[in-house]
Amino acid sequence: MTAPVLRVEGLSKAFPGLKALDDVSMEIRPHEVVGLVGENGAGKSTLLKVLAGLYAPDSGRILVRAEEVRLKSVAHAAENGVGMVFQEQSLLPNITVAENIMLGHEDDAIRYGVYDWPKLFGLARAQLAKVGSTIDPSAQTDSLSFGERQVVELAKVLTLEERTRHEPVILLDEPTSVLEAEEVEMVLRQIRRLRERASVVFISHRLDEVLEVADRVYVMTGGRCVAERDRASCNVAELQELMLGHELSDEYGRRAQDRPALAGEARLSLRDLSSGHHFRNISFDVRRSEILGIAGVGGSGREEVCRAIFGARDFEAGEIRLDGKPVRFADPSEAVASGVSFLPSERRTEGIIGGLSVRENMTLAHLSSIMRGPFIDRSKEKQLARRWIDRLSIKTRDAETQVGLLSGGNQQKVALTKWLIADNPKIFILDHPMRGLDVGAKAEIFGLIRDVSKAGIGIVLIADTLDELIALSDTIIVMRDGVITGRFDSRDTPPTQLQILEHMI
Amino acid sequence: MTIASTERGAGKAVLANILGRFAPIVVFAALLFLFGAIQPSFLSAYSLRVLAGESSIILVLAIGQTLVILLGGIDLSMAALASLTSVLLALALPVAGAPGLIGVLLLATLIGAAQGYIHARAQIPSFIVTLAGMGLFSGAALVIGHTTIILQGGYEAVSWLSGRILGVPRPFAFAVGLLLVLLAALRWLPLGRHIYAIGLGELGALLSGVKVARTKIAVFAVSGLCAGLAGMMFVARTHSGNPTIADSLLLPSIAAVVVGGSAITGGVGGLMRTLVGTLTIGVLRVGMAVVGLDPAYEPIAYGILIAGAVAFTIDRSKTGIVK
Amino acid sequence: MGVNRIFPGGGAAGQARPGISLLSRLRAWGPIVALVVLFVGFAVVDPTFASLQNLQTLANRSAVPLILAVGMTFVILQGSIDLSVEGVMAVSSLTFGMVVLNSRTGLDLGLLGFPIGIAAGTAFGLLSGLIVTKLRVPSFMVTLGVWSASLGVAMLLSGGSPPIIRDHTLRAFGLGYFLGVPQLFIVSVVVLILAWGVQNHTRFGRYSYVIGGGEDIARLSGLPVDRYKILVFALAGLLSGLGGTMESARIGLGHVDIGLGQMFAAITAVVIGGTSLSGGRGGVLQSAVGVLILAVLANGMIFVGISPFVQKSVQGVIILVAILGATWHLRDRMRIVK
Repeated sequence: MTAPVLRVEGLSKAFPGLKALDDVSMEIRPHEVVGLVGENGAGKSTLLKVLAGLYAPDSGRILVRAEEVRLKSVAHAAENGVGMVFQEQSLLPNITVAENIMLGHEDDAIRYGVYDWPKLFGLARAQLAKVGSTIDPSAQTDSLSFGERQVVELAKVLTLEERTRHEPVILLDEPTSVLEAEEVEMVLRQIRRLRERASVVFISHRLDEVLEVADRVYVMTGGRCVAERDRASCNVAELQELMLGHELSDEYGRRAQDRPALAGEARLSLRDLSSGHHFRNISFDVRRSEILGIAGVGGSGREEVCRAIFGARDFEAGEIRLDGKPVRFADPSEAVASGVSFLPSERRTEGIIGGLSVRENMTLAHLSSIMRGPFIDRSKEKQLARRWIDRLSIKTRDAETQVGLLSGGNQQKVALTKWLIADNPKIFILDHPMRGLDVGAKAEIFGLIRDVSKAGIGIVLIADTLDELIALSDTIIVMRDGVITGRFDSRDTPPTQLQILEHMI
Repeated sequence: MTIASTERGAGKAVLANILGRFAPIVVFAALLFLFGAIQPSFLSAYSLRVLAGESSIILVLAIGQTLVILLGGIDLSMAALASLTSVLLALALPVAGAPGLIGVLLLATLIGAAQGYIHARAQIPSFIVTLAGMGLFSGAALVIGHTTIILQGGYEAVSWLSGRILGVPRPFAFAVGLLLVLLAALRWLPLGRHIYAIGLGELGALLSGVKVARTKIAVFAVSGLCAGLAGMMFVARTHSGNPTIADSLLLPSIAAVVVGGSAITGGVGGLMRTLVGTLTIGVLRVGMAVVGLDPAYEPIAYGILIAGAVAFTIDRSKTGIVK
Repeated sequence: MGVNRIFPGGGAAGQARPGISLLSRLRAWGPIVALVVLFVGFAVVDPTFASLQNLQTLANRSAVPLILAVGMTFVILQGSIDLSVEGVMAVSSLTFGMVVLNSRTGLDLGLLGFPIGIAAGTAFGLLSGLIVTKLRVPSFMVTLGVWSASLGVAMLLSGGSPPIIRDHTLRAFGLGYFLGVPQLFIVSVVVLILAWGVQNHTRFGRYSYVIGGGEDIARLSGLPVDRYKILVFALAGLLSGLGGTMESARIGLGHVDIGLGQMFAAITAVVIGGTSLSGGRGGVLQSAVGVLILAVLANGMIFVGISPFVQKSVQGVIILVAILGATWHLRDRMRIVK
């Protein structure tokens, strides 16, 4: 048993309203490729970012080569031999490949402030050779394909070797998710080669790729590390099982018998909706009081479909019908006027306006309900605010408090109220409505969503976890890489999480 | 930026809001007493009337600028448009009288709306659109007007701006009246709510169904109208139109808004603060003259005030990377 | 070597993914084509447009704008803007005018007047840079304030009677010709060549592209971004100072209005040349083409009989059209633009 090059013990990290990492322990050994898998929000990215020095953990220890370190910054982590390739491209498109690779470390190739280009290109070429690449270092970065850029990122991260005496630990966050098939192979090959000179930890939702390349795999869920497997002793199916966590809580298990009957025409109807490579040929119906859940991982296209319905993005082909009438919204204001509501996933930047008061947030989308003639009836507005604060048990000092100061759950209730006050709502789209909420708040929102559907509104739901999705939805569709790969009736005989997961990945 | 720092940012914003509300009034009072101490006649009724008269045109410009800044943008073209309006009025009033006045004001409003349209639809930053506008209007004014155009007739259309009403100079009363009307509009019309929403969180506003483009066009239309009204007030005061007459007022009118405590990041502040800011700038202007300071200190003061006031009120949780 | 080629081209093997399309090639060559077309067009209408004398006039007219455009280019490459050009020129002009042999003060520092005037400009540039980086106020606001403040300082120095420059050597330099080319124009060309070298081959130049192309990535990579931002504003102030002193030498006066209209012209030149206002793309040679286009346009319009006042309006329209063309494809429903 060789000594680990990197080891974490009892790592925890919480953000407001969300426990991202919960007592995580794992280790990375020299010349090893370790895969990290789990559902969305399981904590994988957060873990890597803590290791890369981007976030400081709340508790726990990090040991690099058996020495405990407190990583203060990305640069500090680099000094200790840990470097990360982020999911978002971190290359500058407007400079050469060589400049990107050596960014911040050009000193050897600069004399009196002037560049020695041949030397810089030589240094870059050496880095690229480490990953077996023949990309021209003098090329403009924006002329490279995504796959080539990923290779350059790997070459860039390997400059760690020159900066530390030790073999580096390289962290990769979804290195293949934006790549075409041929490029995926190329990058996987690079990762395998890296084993000779470094240790690698990489996140991927493509379990088959992970098992192809990794020596060991850790499974995370709900911020905890729940399993560790050797490549030799597991398969995709087993990993999928491990990824799905915990027992369904009682709240969700309560399959309300009072689900209204689904009858009549579709309130919302999509036919062959397509938009570039984001989604293709999406067709589904949502009937009165129906809750349609969409399952899928990042990049599946489900968020884009929801935004297209709301008019927040355009689509190229296909048709959307609202209560039978074809619609094509030029922007969200038209959708709102037609009775479509949308709760975005980014609560702080999109769902609420933090600087406005609770009252002002609540009425923003439907000011018409508190107007007297052309003017706002402020006393009517205050009454409305007080009513809803009571009805939804929103914990705030009063209606004038700035929404940005409330807790996540209460902010979400305010955001929901904004849509609940509409007087002719037809469709309600909810994008991760329970993200970042504590258990109590989740249960409340859960019940609210159920109540809303009873009023005859059609609901489209993207949930954080599969158990929430299964518990809430009447119908579930599964999307992967832009197309629908599965449909389930979730009322009488709900599907298991495993069945859905198979179609997701 | 981690989630924790956003929360801290929210708390800081509240503090900045409170400080921003009271600091300008304190500064104003302090300046008033400072100049009054050096030169007691500064506080006489006559002197205060001069102050009011001097501030009235800046106030009208600042009112329009306030609405734009509340959105999170800026209008650099207002002064040039005011100059252009003065030239057009000097030419139009003698032949068309009051209808001519209405026509020119309407034109100024449409020009403002056009800038807003380009900014909103072509998604070009407001400072670029209005920078280009500044050049366009300035050049047009010079081409049409060359130099001062004495008003040959039709003064009756603007004569209501001369003299006093209830002891207060009419231009000042007009400006304050305009301010109160717009203040009421901001408070009671949906437009006002939309403006603040866009300033505080444009993405959230968009996704709440706010017609953002329409609001922006309306706001720039108002700033165009204010520029037109400022030009009208110049004509009333000087009985002439001049292609560069308002140019020196761009900086003081922006200073008036930021010194009043409105943040250029948007959504924070309002017209009452602009009134305080305008009076502060006015006190500075008149006070420096009364005390005998070289008028060259005025632009220096504006520069310091603008940089300082903005640094103080800017919402740093929003700015991230500052360019 | 041509690392940052004027005309983007080259690339790795195979896939031309984003980048070198027909449109971007057109955009790269566009300004030069426009310059040639304009010049030829005016020359056709009036052959004296292309005479030696008029070429000298064009060179004289372009000397100072070229220098200002270089400074503005670096600032815009980083993603910021400098609205203080006219005020900084004024301060330098007055400082210069008062330390060389003149009608107001008893000083006679001759050639030292240049570095002193330039130093004054650099000081204001440094001030702008410090406020932007330390107080985190956006550059358009800061430079608006510095424009005002520096103009006020210039007015203080001028005190109502602008200093008349009586140093004959300096005036001769400002008005003189070398082999038929205006000496000031030669200075500008030298500055331009130096700037081109700095832009493509020094850390300051390349980091300007990095900061403009992705400041967050730059910071994450540990680059001392604030230092380079301060430097770029200081450089812009320095070049404004050079422009102010050169112009003073030419007209023989230290004057508050010496920079009138130059800010607009400099920004327009940079924008037409193809340097993007959002930063990270473009360069000084492109801006130089822009300066020449504006000079030819201004001169040609006089030849054709159009009022010189129209220039400002035309510049305004050009800025708008250029930006429209450059950013039209970025439009999106959810894009926020302030």
